[in-house]
Amino acid sequence: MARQIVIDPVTRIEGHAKITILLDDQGAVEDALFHVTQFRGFEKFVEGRPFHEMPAVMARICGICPVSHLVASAKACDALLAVRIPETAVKLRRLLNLAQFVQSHALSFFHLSSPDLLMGMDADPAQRNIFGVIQQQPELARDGVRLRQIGQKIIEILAGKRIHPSWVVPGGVSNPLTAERREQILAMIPDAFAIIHRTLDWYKIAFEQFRDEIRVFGNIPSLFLGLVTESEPGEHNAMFEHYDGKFRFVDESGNIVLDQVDPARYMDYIGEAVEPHSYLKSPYFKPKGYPNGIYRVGPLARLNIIDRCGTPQADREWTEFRALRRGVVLSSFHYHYARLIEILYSVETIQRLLNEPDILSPKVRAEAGVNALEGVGVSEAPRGLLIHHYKINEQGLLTWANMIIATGHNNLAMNQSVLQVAKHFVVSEKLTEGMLNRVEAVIRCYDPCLSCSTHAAGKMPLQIELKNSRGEVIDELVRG
Amino acid sequence: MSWSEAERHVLIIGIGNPMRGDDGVGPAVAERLEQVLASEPVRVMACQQLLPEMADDLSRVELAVFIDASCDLTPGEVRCLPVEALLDVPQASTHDFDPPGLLRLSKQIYGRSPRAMVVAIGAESFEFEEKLSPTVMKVFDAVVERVRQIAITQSVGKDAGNA
Repeated sequence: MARQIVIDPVTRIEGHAKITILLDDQGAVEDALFHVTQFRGFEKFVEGRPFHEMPAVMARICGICPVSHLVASAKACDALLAVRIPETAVKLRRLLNLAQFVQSHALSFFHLSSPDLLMGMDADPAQRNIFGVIQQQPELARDGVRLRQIGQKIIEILAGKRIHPSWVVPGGVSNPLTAERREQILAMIPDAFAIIHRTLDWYKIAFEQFRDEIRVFGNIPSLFLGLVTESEPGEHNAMFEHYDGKFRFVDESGNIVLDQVDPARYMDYIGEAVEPHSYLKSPYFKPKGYPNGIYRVGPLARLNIIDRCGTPQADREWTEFRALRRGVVLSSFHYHYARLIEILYSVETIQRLLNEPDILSPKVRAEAGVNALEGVGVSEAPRGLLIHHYKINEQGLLTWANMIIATGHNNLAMNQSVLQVAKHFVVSEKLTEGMLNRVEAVIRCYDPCLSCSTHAAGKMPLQIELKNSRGEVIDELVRG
Repeated sequence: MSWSEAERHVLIIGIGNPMRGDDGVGPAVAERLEQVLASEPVRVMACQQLLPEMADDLSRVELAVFIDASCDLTPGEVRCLPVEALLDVPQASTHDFDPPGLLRLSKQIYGRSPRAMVVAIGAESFEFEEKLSPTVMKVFDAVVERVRQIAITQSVGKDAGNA
């Protein structure tokens, strides 16, 4: 008799979701589905509101990565103003965005995933959490808190104390950086470098024990999408670009499928399919159709699409990273590794930007009224490519909004990853902790943010279920 | 009078999303308290959800007051609970780090955590809107005054060496 297993909720991810595993008549895994049970809200909520409110409003989508929405939204509003914002404002926005990478990646790595990495996937769930990490390796836990603190502190110094800063505005930023604040940030940089190097050293030894998981944790062929610096075709000199830049699609063999595409043309290449089992849409690469147009975004994708990072320390780490596999790195387990390298890159770049001569320039905002009725803002968020697209009327009121968020881009890949893990680890009709932990852990590799991806402005629980071929639930597990 | 961070012995944290109706009551109360307690050695924060680095903030104070909307209480009902009591009470909301978890983190990483209480306010609506329901608005001023009294009592007590 065919059976179905459902994991509900998946713990230690931002937001909540549910996993269903379907077994065939022989008890082998036939299919697996990752459901997001939240509803969409923000795209409708913002209709009729003045466009200049959007950055502050959109930042409310998520309590973890408000800065990402702030930046993408402000860029969409820049397009409505049809202005070129001052260079210093671009640099200050970059600083803010990179500080967001530091704090968000730190949360994902240290608080959500390090318990699995330190204690192993079969450890008792009662111990396999941040408190278990504190007991076994207190320095690792302290480093995690400190690194997040540094990222948050930089955001606070730049943008004010609120978790949802309103410093980023259409046309630039509201206030220039002062010399005193620059020094405050620079003073934290050595600490950040020490932590990230210490963590990379630890991780490069720790991940060796997860060879089995690396082999089946989303080790799938797919395209990879992200932003890269502008370059001439064929130059092979594209670097990390987390704020601006052009689209690049790379396939599983490392071939560039599409390059230097204006992100405002995203609709030409990205379609959004809707599945009845989830509120989360399934974006796909249009030229390959649905569902063959599966692609991944985020840290792993970004490291796979570039020709180099663009900073010396991150470049050295990237070279080692790419040596894991000839060509691009396919296993989603390595999202963790990629996250650490991006933290290193972020700290290096924050330091470089703060030392640029015009960083204290008072010219940080371009003033204008409505000059275009449609605007697209695209930037990289910690979890991947973030797209905000608005249409307004002559009065500047929103008439339509569309957002594609990193977790959405990765939806097809997360589903395939869950299926791959389930096929490997679900070997009987009996639910085991080790199996459930691995199914959850593969989802955590993507660090999904369900509040963001469904624009639900909140959270709700998720669960694991086992069903037979008639759709009857024969087992269930609820955690968290 | 302005106070240094080291002199602020009370930390007030308003939790919630101001764009989800009554979920925004925590930040709204915090915002008001920031004004009325401006001359007191009290630190006030507002956040959408509790985050791990706040463990450091907690480790530096004598008393923490968390203000949060509750879907378990009757709309408009207000309860002040010591955090220990929350272990037996349904959590006010689904924020990832709840007050007991954050206090535990503070204790384990920094070696200390403050006495703490949660002020829970029964919510009526979590719809997409930037205003509080009339039911919650009715108790709003009373909540502000209650937390102000708690904060002042504690900060005075600390100055007198009674903390």
